[in-house]
Amino acid sequence: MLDLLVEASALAFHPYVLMYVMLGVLLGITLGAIPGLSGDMAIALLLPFVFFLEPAMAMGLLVGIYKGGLFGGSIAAISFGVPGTPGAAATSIDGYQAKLNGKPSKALHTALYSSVIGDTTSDLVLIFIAVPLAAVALTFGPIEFFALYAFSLILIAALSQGMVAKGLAVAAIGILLAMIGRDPITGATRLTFGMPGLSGGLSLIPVLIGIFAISEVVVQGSKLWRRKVDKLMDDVAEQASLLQGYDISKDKLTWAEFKFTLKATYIGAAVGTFIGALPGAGQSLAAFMSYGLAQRFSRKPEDFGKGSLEGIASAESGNSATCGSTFIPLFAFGIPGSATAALFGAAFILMGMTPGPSLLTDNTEIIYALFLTLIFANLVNLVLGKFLLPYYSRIAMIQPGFMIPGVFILAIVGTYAANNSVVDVWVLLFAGALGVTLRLMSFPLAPLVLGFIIGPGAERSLRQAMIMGGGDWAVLIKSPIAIGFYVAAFALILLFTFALRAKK
Amino acid sequence: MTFKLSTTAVAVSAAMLTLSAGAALASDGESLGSDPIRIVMPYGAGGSTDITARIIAANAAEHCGSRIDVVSMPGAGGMEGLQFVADAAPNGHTILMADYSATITQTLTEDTPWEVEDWVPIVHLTDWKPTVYVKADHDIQSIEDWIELAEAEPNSLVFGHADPLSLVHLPLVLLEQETGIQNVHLPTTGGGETRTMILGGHIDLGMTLPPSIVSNVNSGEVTAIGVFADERSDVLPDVPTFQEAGYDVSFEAPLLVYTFSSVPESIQQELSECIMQGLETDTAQTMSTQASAGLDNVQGLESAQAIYRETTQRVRDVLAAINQD
Repeated sequence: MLDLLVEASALAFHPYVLMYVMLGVLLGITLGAIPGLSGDMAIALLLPFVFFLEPAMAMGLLVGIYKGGLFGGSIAAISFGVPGTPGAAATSIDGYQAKLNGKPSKALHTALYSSVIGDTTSDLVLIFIAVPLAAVALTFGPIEFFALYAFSLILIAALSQGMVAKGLAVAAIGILLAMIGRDPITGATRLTFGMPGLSGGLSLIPVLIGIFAISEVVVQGSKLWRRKVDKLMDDVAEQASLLQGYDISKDKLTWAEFKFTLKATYIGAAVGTFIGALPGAGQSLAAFMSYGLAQRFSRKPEDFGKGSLEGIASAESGNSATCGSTFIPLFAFGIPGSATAALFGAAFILMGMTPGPSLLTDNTEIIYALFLTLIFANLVNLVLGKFLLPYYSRIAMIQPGFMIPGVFILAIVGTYAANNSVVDVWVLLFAGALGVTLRLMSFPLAPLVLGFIIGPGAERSLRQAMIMGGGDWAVLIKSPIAIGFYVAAFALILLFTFALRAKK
Repeated sequence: MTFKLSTTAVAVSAAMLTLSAGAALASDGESLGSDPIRIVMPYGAGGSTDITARIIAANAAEHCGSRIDVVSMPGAGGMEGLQFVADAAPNGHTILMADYSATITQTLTEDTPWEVEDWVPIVHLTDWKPTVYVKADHDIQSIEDWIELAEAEPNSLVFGHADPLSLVHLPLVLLEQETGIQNVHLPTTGGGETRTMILGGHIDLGMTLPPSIVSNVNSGEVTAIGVFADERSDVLPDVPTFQEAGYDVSFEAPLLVYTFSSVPESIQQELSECIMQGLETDTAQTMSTQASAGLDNVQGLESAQAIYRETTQRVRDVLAAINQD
């Protein structure tokens, strides 16, 4: 093993490879921070270059983009309340609140550190226990997945403290929206009202950006308008100052605060790594579950939703911890468990390597070099992130009057660019209207997004399980893993009810 | 998975589309100009179609006289991609690459603004061979085992396939019509999910294309029991065809490059030739072997159009038979 590592280091720590990693991370962070664009897109765009680069360099670039993108999404989430990538949706709940409290730098730093810790954990798991974890991942069939989704929905609905009913209602709306399009089993179109543009369903990006960004734009815009109408005399100096008197030196993350968030980060790392290894589960699910569980085990659960650093840490860590483990099904069985894994799988094929069990044995040197690159890229992410954050923090505090048009345009262009689809832009606007309505009626937004994300998976796994069981509902408890999730969900509900009673 | 145009590329192509009148002049209406050619796929990036398209893009560009880009448009179940090609200027610069589910099955089962005949195949790239496989330690290890078990206990075996009526589902329907056996059909999100379910022991049988499972077969994790093709697959030479086993069911899926019918025939001919030239090069052949893309026997217009007509008829027959049940 040791001499292999030495050989692999020669490959991985070549100056060009390091350069490509840095380039990749920079690209990834930047693109991830732009709503609608994501690391996946950059990876897909740069796939042709894989033909021309040497494998180690190509891997370095793609890995850098991937990791940079995972963190980059949180930048927009914290700064503008718009998740830059779907995985950052959970980060935006507390992240944006933190920025509204005037602490974007603390938030961004928390996100960075937890992202890197979660990511590194996942990479280490990939390197050392990929095969056993893959075997566990395989035991998840439709019955187990449905139990997992049911558990997460209950977890997330309970997130909205004091508003559990509203949380569940909004999650249900999310699931309903996800049902527009094709029936996953028969392929028949439903809820499309005869519009062919809807036959593919609503895309995640426009819904996400619409719910968060457009509604925020409208809300902020109306606040500005009201301020103009109400206040006849404005402080000219205040208006002229781009940053509203933001003093970044007062917004540093202290060591004590960092230590306080570690528990949440570790929870995220564990949950994210596990969920990341399950094919099809997804970054958002990992992030939300981490968030929910961290709240359960936090000493200050009431801060969640108000700018809690733990909230940011758990969400970001959960999101980033899917990075290494998403490769596990690909390496173990040749099955890509996510869009990113599929892209990497295509890259492997283009480089002449076949994803699957033989990948490690046939291409040992390159794969070990890849492992080293994964770890190294985390370091680059940390350093580059730390370097860029002061600038991003300041950007975050730009006055709404200047930021709103920018975010609005970026949202529309980013949405269109995501899938070359005009339908998506309409969905964006509709989602924005929905988001505004929900906000006006004090409904939480996050459960809607989670309902939308896991709705299709939940429906499909439920119906697949029913088909497999011949229509018998009892099939849902035929698996010990599934029973485990249901028991955990029930326990959570009990815990929560008692906790609420105890507080009263 | 998805090759998505960046915002810059979107702006550039928007500019190009508005200048399409000029572009039509530049290509003097009847021959391929020097503007970039876009191969549109109605699928996400990273799949077999994507890889094949990229091999074309990398090798045919110099023969066709311009850059070739691969565009993925999986929206609206792939309809957006087809709509995009149908609406594009008829100068041969926007072409479609798809299997028959998109151009034939979808057109026949849904309300589309085009007919099957509106899609003109110009290159016959390869024929995909749907393959049935099981987990290596399953009781079923051959076609005979399957038929026997299925006849003994109807509707006891769960068969996973991607997308109802897709190229990995129709052969199953045909086999069941031929033999009268009944299996439980479980739709999945695609080859990946089918494979996970097989390996995890959640379903009994699955159907996919050979390149996806070669590595699993070679490592002894799964057994491929049969191929719905006229001849055995090159990458899985030990797997018998269903015809060899005595069941006359074969339904290969041709992968074709299409132009919309509005494109003049001379341009169709030009495109067909330059793509074929590009694929005959050594580089292309090496890439194809590396990726198991099966591009060693690329055929032109006549073959493509003949197989398209044949496949259309077969799909019509299958659909009619299904609707009668």
